Amino acid sequence: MTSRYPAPPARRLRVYAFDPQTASRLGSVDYAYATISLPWEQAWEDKLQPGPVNEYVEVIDVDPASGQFYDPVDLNNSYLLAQDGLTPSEGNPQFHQQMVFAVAMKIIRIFERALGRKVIWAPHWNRQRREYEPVDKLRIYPHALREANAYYSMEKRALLFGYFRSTNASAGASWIFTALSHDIVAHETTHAVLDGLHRRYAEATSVDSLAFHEAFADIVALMSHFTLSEAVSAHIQQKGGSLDEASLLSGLAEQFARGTVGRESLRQYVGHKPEPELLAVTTECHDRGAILVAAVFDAFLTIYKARTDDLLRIGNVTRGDGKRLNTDLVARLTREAVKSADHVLRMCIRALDYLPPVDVRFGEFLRAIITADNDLVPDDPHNYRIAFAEAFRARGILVEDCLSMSPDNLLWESPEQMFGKNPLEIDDLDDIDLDLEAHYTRAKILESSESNRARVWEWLSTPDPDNVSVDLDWERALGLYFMFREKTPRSIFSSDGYPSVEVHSVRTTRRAGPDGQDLRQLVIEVTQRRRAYFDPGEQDKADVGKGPPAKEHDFIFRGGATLIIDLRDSKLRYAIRKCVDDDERLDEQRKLLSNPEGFGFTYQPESGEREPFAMIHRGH
Amino acid sequence: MAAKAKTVKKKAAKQSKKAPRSASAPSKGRRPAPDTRSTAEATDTPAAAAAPPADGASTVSIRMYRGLLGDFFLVRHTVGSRAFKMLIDCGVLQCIGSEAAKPSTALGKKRIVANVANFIDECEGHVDLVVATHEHYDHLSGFILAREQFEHFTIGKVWLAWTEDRTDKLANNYRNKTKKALAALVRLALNPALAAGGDSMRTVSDLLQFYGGLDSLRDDALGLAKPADDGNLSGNASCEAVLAWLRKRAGTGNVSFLKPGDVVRWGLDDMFRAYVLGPPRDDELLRKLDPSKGNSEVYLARNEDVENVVGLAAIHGKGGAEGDGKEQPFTRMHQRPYNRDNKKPGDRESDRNEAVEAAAAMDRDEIIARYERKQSFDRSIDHEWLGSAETLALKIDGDVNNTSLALALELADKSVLLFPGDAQVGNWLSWNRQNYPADDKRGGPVLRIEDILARAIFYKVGHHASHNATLRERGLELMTNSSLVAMIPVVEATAREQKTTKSPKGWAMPYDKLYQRLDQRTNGRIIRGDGDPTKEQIKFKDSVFKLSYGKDFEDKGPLWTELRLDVG
Repeated sequence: MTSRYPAPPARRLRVYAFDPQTASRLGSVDYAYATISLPWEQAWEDKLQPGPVNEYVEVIDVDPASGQFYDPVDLNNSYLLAQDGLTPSEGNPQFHQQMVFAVAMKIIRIFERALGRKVIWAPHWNRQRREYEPVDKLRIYPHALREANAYYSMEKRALLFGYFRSTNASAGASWIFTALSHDIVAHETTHAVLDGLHRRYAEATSVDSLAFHEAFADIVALMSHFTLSEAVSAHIQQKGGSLDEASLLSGLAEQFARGTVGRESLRQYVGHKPEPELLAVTTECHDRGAILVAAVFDAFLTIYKARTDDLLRIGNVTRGDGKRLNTDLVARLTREAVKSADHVLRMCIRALDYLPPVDVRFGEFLRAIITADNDLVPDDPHNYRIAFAEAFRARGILVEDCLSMSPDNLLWESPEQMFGKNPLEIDDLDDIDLDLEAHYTRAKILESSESNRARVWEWLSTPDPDNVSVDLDWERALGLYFMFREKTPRSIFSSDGYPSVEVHSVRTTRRAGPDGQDLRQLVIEVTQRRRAYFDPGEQDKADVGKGPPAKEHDFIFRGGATLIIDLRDSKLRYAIRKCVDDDERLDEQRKLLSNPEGFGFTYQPESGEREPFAMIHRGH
Repeated sequence: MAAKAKTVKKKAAKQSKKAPRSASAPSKGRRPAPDTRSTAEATDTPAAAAAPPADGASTVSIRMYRGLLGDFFLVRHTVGSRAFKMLIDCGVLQCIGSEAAKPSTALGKKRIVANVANFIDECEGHVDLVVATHEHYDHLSGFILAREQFEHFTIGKVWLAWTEDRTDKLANNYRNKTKKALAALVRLALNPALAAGGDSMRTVSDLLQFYGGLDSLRDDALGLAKPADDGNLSGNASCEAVLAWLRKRAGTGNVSFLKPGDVVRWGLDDMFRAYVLGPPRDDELLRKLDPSKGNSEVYLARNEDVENVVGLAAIHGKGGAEGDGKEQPFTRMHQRPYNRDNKKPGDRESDRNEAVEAAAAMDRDEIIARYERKQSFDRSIDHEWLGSAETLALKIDGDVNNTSLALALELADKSVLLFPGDAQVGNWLSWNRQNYPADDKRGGPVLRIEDILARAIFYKVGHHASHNATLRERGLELMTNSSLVAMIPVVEATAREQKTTKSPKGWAMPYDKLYQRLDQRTNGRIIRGDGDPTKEQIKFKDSVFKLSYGKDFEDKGPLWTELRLDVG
């Protein structure tokens, strides 16, 4: 909009800080509301329309269960602009629209800030045309279901929120709307963002893979509680500077939990002593994910403590002894808590670029956190990295092939460490003319990343004209094959007589460290598919067989690598790979898929869940 | 081979001697019959077994009627010319959809009529005991489909699960809830616009067929169902009506509602004992349908789920009362009716001025257009909400299965014939909640469920050998008796015809992993409703049971298959 006045810096929208229940209790009403500031739409972005609909999301408030299509809220209406949007209210569907919009956008901005680039939704695979189509806007349906559930639907690229009636008095409402729970909206939005970054993480490749999705969504929902400084400060005052007691801040989705299971939170991340053995025996994905979240939360608590010990000494108080704190001290402690949470969340999000493209494990997440942080902030004055390593170890999340759990050893190996020397020359990268310019519009970003993908594919899959050993080195580093050689598993999918290779994504990032460090990287993800069979004998046959195997495969096994290239000196920093010929890993996946009896009482396999990201999985 | 069978029997006899204070052994033959009617009938009735045993020999036989995706068992105890006859269930799956699409399913009706004819003939129109395990069509529909033949049928006693007891508060609560849910689901299923809405409603309709089909359910829901006044069942009777009919036929005083831990008697002169294993009286276990992964099932508050679907039925259902407005989450001020297929101008009640109204209408039209705009993939959510109806239908289905009367019929040598109905996980899990008196003395020794299962030599596989009606560690794996055989009342072709887009291969009955394990456990001695007699006979050569078959039904193989065991 052109105007003779300068655009305001931010659009402010009021929301429930947690959920409507917090607002109906005297003890918490002081911090039950929050105002989310979203950057005002830039000139090149889609304008905000009634819905709300903007550059990233479209809120569509159809309620088919009730046979209704509620009027969309127009946030540009001057009355609403003048009062930071509608007043929080459970009875007004337009406020529901405002709240899902504001919280989803807040999460999107958190990701963009930490990743140093725009959030892109997972493209849609068009079966007819056999190509990926960009998905411009994520759909949000605030009243999609009439049940105690909410999920990110990969099929529809949409967030579906349910509402339900509860007779549970402690929920304090007869209708409960998941769209009004900050935690549930944040959780589901994170699923969508993560799916856009790593499409293959939704596949059940190991007990860790789906659990990781759940865990990450919880981490974001949980850590974003600490952006609410009023709630944090009230809590710090009440608990004498301590954060490690179970509370609203450390639990998730209180009203939802009360309305369904009658508990105080759906998941509570404080108060469980670390049990290193627990991880090995936990297989349900939400439960397993909870262990990872607890580890991250422990790291946060350690960091917060380390950052505030001196403040408490200055104030001459012992943490948590119940003495009323000086208001200035509370303000300082709150700032430290907010800052620590922000750092922890950023470290976790930045790690996403340092993960393998398929089959992620908890231990790899730790290595990614440490490495990503090390690259951006070479020294670690507050010992964040040790805090993470220690917290993960205490929860039994170990890294298999590392010398020790010290941060130094947890760094991803450089190609030099892996192969003795860096065998991979990327000096010809300049020749392929990648579009490395920083684009602002998301349409342009999508276009440029698509063309970069094609160029990198061309570059990688063209054999070196002079020296075959160059190609062999690349195959080794990426853990996949460009040519069928003697020992190449024939079960790898092929086209035109060559193993198919997919360049999954090519993205550039630009990050700034605390001391003005500027990090420009190119992240390339390459994957390959292999036909896999439940019967190892069948697998062997397919692996040595000539031509396409006769029998239809039972499942797909993927391998691949994430390449991180430093654009400042055009050097390959890391090749984070999952070999496609790793038969041990294949066997693990086979066991998971074919032997699910271990989970249950009967002879039944895990039923195929249509929506893997539901808050609650429908029991059938 | 015969020699081997003998040794097995000897072993069994030895066991019975070792067993503490066998209750039935001393009373064998001398025990005064408390039920005069059954003895009177039995003496009046000449032995009617296909191959009558030698005079004086005591045998027990189990006849399974074949060619049914449904349970239909005749269990008999014969001594000389006297016989005790017990009918356990009599039903077949309803055919939904066209005969052309489901030829095997469609055959079921004809088949059960022929089966019932044989049965009536065989038992001469009278049985001493009817066991009706639970209120599902595939266990009771024979009484409806072949109702003419049952017109003069007489019944000595009826055994039902305690959940059918009208004087039991817990049972009534449970039954009312089920009825309410079914009525709501029927109203949704009767809305043709929803039926077109994909898989969820198809599943609901399919599951409703287990209660007697939409017609009878609609009549029930609308209050149109009239009780048959001539004492016979009507053609569209519901399963509930069948149970009422059975109770009436047997007469008051001859109907027992069995609770877990009860010990009841069966056989000639009440010679044998039977242990009642389930259904549990624990509400929580009744609700446990599936193996617990995590605790997903405890999240579901059942009453609320029923209320929820009742609310949805008030909005979308056909037949029944209109809603009272409480089924809408928002007040009328915010309501904007919308039906994608049947557009009507929104009946807006507003006192806002016209210009404001027009602006709001424009905004709304724009967002509706955005929603309805065609994209290269379907992003609309018109029918996603039906998932909650589907979930409830599945839950109710499992609930009813879990109210199955699960019985362990004991023989004189203490071996056990296991008839669990269609018990699902919760029912199985509850069997160790109580002990079972080993004899009739108060305070005497007790049996644990492990003891009983270890003695099982016969297992009627639950729920047509589906994935979730045979417990593994605390079920089949405990049936360690080397003589174990299994009968599966299943027609795989029929099960495979029940296709939806979600399960394109139809129902997995029998479920292969369970079947493999059964095959190992029984050493291949499995009888199926659609089995190949030649192959089955080979497997049974060395069994303690003798296997025989009835005459052929058209070209579809024998009408029935029977296992016979000498019991001394």
